[in-house]
Amino acid sequence: MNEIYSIRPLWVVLISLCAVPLIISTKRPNLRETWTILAGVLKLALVLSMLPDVLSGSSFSFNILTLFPGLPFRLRVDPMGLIFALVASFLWIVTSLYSIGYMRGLKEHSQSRYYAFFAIALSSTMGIAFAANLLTLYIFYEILSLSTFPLVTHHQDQEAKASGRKYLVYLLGTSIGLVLPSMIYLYMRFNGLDFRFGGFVPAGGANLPLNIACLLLVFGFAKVAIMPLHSWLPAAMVAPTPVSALLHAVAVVKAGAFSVVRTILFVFGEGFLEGSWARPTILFFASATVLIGSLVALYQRELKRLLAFSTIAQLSYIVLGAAMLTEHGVKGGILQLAMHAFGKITLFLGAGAIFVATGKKLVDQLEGLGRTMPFTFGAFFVGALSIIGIPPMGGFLAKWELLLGSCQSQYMGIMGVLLASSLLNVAYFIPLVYRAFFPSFPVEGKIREAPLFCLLPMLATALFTILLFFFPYPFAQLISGLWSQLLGG
Amino acid sequence: MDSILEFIVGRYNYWLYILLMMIGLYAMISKNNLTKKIVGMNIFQTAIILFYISIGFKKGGTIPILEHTSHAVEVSHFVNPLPHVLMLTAIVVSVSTFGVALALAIMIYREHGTLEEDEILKCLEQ
Amino acid sequence: MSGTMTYHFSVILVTFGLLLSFITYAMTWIKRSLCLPFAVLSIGFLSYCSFSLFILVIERGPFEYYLGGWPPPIGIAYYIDELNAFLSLLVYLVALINLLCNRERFLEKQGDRIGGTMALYILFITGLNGILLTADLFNLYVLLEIASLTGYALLAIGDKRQAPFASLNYVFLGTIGACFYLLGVGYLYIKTGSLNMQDVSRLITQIPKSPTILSGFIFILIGIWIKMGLFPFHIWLPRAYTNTFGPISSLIAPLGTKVMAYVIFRVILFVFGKEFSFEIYSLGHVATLFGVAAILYGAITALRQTDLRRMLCFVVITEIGYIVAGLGVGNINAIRGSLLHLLNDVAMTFCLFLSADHLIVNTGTKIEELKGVFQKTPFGSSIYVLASLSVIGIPPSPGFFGKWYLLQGSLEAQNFWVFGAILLSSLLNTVLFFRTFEEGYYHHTESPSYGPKKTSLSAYGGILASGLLVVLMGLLAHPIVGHIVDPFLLRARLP
Repeated sequence: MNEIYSIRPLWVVLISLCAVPLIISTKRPNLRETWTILAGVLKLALVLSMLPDVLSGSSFSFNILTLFPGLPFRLRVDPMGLIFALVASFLWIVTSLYSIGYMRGLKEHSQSRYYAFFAIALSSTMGIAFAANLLTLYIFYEILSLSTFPLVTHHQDQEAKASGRKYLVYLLGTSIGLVLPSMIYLYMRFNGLDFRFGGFVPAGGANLPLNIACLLLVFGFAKVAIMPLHSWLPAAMVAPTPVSALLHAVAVVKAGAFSVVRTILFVFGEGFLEGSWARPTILFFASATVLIGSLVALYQRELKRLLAFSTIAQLSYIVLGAAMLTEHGVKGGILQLAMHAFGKITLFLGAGAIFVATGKKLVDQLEGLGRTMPFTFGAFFVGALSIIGIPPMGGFLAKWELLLGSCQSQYMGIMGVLLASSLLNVAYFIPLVYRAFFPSFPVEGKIREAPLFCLLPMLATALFTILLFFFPYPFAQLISGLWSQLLGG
Repeated sequence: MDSILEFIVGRYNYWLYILLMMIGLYAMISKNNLTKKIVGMNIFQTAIILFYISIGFKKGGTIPILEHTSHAVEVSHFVNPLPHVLMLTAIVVSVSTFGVALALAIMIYREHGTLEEDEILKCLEQ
Repeated sequence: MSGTMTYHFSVILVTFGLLLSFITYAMTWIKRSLCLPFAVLSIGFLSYCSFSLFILVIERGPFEYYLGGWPPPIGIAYYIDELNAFLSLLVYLVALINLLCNRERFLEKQGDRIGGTMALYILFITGLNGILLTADLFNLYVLLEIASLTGYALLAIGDKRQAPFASLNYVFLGTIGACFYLLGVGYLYIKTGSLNMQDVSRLITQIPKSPTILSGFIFILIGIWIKMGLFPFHIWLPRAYTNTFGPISSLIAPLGTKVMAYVIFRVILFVFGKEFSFEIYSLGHVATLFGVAAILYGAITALRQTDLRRMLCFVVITEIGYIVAGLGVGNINAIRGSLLHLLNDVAMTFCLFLSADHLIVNTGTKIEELKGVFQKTPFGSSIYVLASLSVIGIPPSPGFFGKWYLLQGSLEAQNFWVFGAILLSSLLNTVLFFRTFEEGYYHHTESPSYGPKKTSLSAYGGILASGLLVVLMGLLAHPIVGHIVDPFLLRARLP
C-alpha cells in the first residue's frame, strides 16, 4: 500500500470554507446560491478524483501542522473516509438545490448566514472523514458541533432556543467531558493517536482504564445518539428541513457514527476488544437503542420526530456492525453508513416537501396526500423501503451484510435485534404510506405537488437508493479494499 | 527564661516593625474612614522601611564613607549602606502611593461627599 | 542596526519607556492633539525594540545585560530569555493594538487630559516590561510599583461613582501585596546579602532549611498572589476591572495579572529552585489547593454575574487558577501547560475584553442588554465568540493547547483534583459563554436600520488584530512550546 503525499485532501476540506466569504459578501441570492452549488460540485469532483487511486489501494495524506509532539494535524484519505466523503459531498449538492427551493418557498430570514454555516459544516464533515488521527478528528468534530448550532436554531425563537441548548449541552458536554480526557489518556499512554486499521491499542482487553477510555470515546461521540445520549437529535428537529435532512441524516449523525467506527476499528481494534468488557457494553447499549428507538418511533405524531427516532435506531446498526468485529459485520456497518444516508435523506426531503407544499407536520394529517402529491410520496415510499431493508433498495444490502455478520459473530442475539427492528420499521412506515395513498375518508383538493426545486433532489436521491442496490460498486469495492488492508497488514 | 528574654529583647527591631505593621494593617482593615485607612497604609509601608533600615545597621558602625583608603577596611566598622539606599527608593514609592491614594480619596469625596466607607457603599448600592 | 546595539534594547525599553512617557506628557504644553499620535509612535518604537530583542534572543540564546556595565551582585542585571522577550513583545503588541483600536474613545473620554492619560499608559507598560526583564529582586519591586501606581490611576478613569472607590480598594490590597513582596526580599537579603536573582539562588542552595528563607519565600509568594488576583486574594479584581473605562480594562485585565503570574514562575523556578520549592517547602500541595479553589470559585461565581465585564473578571480569576494549579502539579507537562496558558491567556483575555467592550458600547453593560447584538454588530460579535471559544478550549484555539498540557500533566501526576477542576470549569465556561451568546443571538428583528454605532475603521482593525493574535497563538502553539516555553523549562532544570 503506497501513500501519496498530496494537498488534495486539504483542498477538499477548504473548498467550502473558501466559499464562505463569497456567500456572505454576495448580496444577490442567485449569485450566492451559485457559489454554494459551485463549491459543492468542485468538492465532489475533487473527492471523485481521488477515488481511482484509493480503489487501487493507495492513500492520500497531508500534514498541516504539528499540534503536540508526535501528534500532527494530519489528513489522510483511506477507503472508509472516502466513502463518507463521497456520500456527504454528493448529498450536499442535492441538499443545496433543495435548500434553494425550501428556503425561498418559506421566505426564511438570514439566508446568507444559513448557507455560510452550511458550508462550514460541510468543511468540517470532510475533515472528520479525512482525519488521520483522533485529535484531528476531534478538532473537526467540535467545529461541526459549533457550526451546526446556528443552523439548528435558525428560527431564533423560544423553541429553537430550548433545542439549541439541549443540542450544545449534549454535544459539547460529551466531547469535552468524555472524549477529551479519554483522548489525553490514550495520548499519554501511547504517545500518539494515529489511526491504524486494527487499532494502536495493544491486545489484552482486561485493562480497566483502557476499557473506560473506550467507553468514554464511544459514548462521548454523542452525535451517534446511542441511548441515553440521544435526546438532542429529536430536539434538533426544530431546524429547517434541509438542515435536518443533511445534518441529521447525513453529516452530523454520520460523523458521530463514523467517529465511533474509527474508535472501534482504528483505535482499539479487534485485538483489544475481543476480550474486553467494553465491547459487550457497547453491543448492549446499541441493541437497546435499536429496539427502543424503533419502538418510540411508533408513537410519534410529528413526522420529523418519527424520522429522528428512526435515525437513532438506524445509527446504532452501524455501531453494532462495527462492534461485531466480523468481516460481514464491519462491511455491513460501513455500507449502512452510506445506504442509510441516501434512504433517510429521501425521507427528510419528502417531509420537507410536504411541509412546503401543505404546511403539514403531523403524521395524521398526511392521509390522502399521496393522491395529490404522487411524486413526493413515491420517493418517500422508496426511502421507507430502503430503511426497512427490502430489495431492490440499497438498504437491503447493508442489512444483509449485518445479518451475515451477526451469524459469524458469537452474539447471535444481535440477529434477533436486527430482525425485530425491521419489523418495527415496517410497522411505523407502511401504515403511514398506505394511508397517504388510500385515505379512509375523501380529501378535499387545493393541494399541489411540492416546488420543482424540492421535488427533483428528492427524486434523485430516491433513484440513487434504488441504483445503489444494483450498482454498489464503488462502496463495496472500497469496503473490500479496507478489509484486505487488515488482512494484508 | 533568659533565652526567651534574649530572643525578645535581642530582636526588638523586628518586634517593633511587626507591631507597626499590625497597627497599619489594623487601621486598613477596621477603620471606616478612608483617610484613616490611607494613613494605616502609610504606617504599614513605613514599618517595612524601618525593617530594612534596621537590618543594615551594625552596633558601633559608622557611616560608610571611606576617607583614607591606605589601610585595610574593617567591614564591621561601617553600617551596610545598601538597604538604606534601597529605602530611599522605597520612600519615594511610599510617598507616591500616598499621593495616588489621596488623589483617589479626593475624587471619591467630590462624587459622594463623604469619606466614610459604609456611606459610600450605601450610596453605590442605590 | 548592529547586533551590539540590539543588546542595549533591553535597557532602552525601560529607560526610553520612562522618558517617552514624560515627553508625551510634555506634548500637552506644545499642542494637546499631538499627545496621542506621539504615544502611538512611542509604543510603536518600543514594540520595534522589543521585537528585535526577541529575534536576537531566538537567534543567539538568552543573555544577561549589566546596567552601566556593572556586573552583579554589585550592579543591576537584566536577564533576557525567550519567554520574557516574547511576553514583553506581547505586552507591547497588546498595548499598541488597544491604543489604536480605542483612539477615538480615549479622545472622547479623556480629551482634555489626554497627555496625562497617555503618559500613564506608557508608564504602565514600561513598568510591566521592566518586571519581565529584570533579574534584580529590588529592581523588580520598583518596577512593580511603577506598574501598580499607574495602574491604580488608570483604573480610576471610568464610571465616576464606582471607579475611584474600586481603585482605592485596589490601592490598599495592592500595597499590602507589594509590601509583602518587599518584606520577603528583605528576608532573603538578610540571609544572602544579595539581590541578584541568580546570585540569591546560588546562595540559597547552601542554606536550604533556614527559617528566614522560608519566611521570605512565603512573603514573596503571598505578595505576588495578591497582585495576580489569585483566589482568595482576588477581592480587588472584579470591582476594579468592572467599573473602569473599557479601553483601560482591555489593557490591564490581560496584562497585569499575567505579568505577575510570570513573576511567580521566575521566582519559584529561578530564585528558589524546583527542589527547594517543591521538595523542601511542598509548594505543590499549597499551589494545587489554591489553584483548584480559584478555578472552581471563578467558574461558579462567573455564572451568577449579570454584568458582562464583571463576568469576564471571574473568567480571569479562573484562568489564574489554571496557571497556579499547573504550577502546583509540578511536573514538566503541567508547568509547560501553565506557561503556555499564561502566554495564550494574554491574547485570549485581551481579545475577549476588547470585543466585549465593543459589544458593551453598542448595547449596555448588563448581559441581558446584549439582546440582538449579534445582528447589530456581526463583526465584533464574531470576534467575541472566537475569544470565548478559545477560553472554553475548543480546538484549535490557543486555550485548548494550554488545557491539553495541563490535563496531561495532571493525569501523569495522578492529580485528579486538578484534572477534574479543569474539565469541570471548561464545561461551566461553556454554559457561561453560551448564555451570553443566546442573549446576543436570539431576538431577531427585521428592521434594516439596526446597525452598530458608528465605529471607525481603526477600531474594527484593532478588534480584528486581536482576533488574529488569538488565531495565530493557536496555530503556532507547537513552535511556541518548542522554542519559547521548553528552553525556559530546560534552564529551570525541569527534566
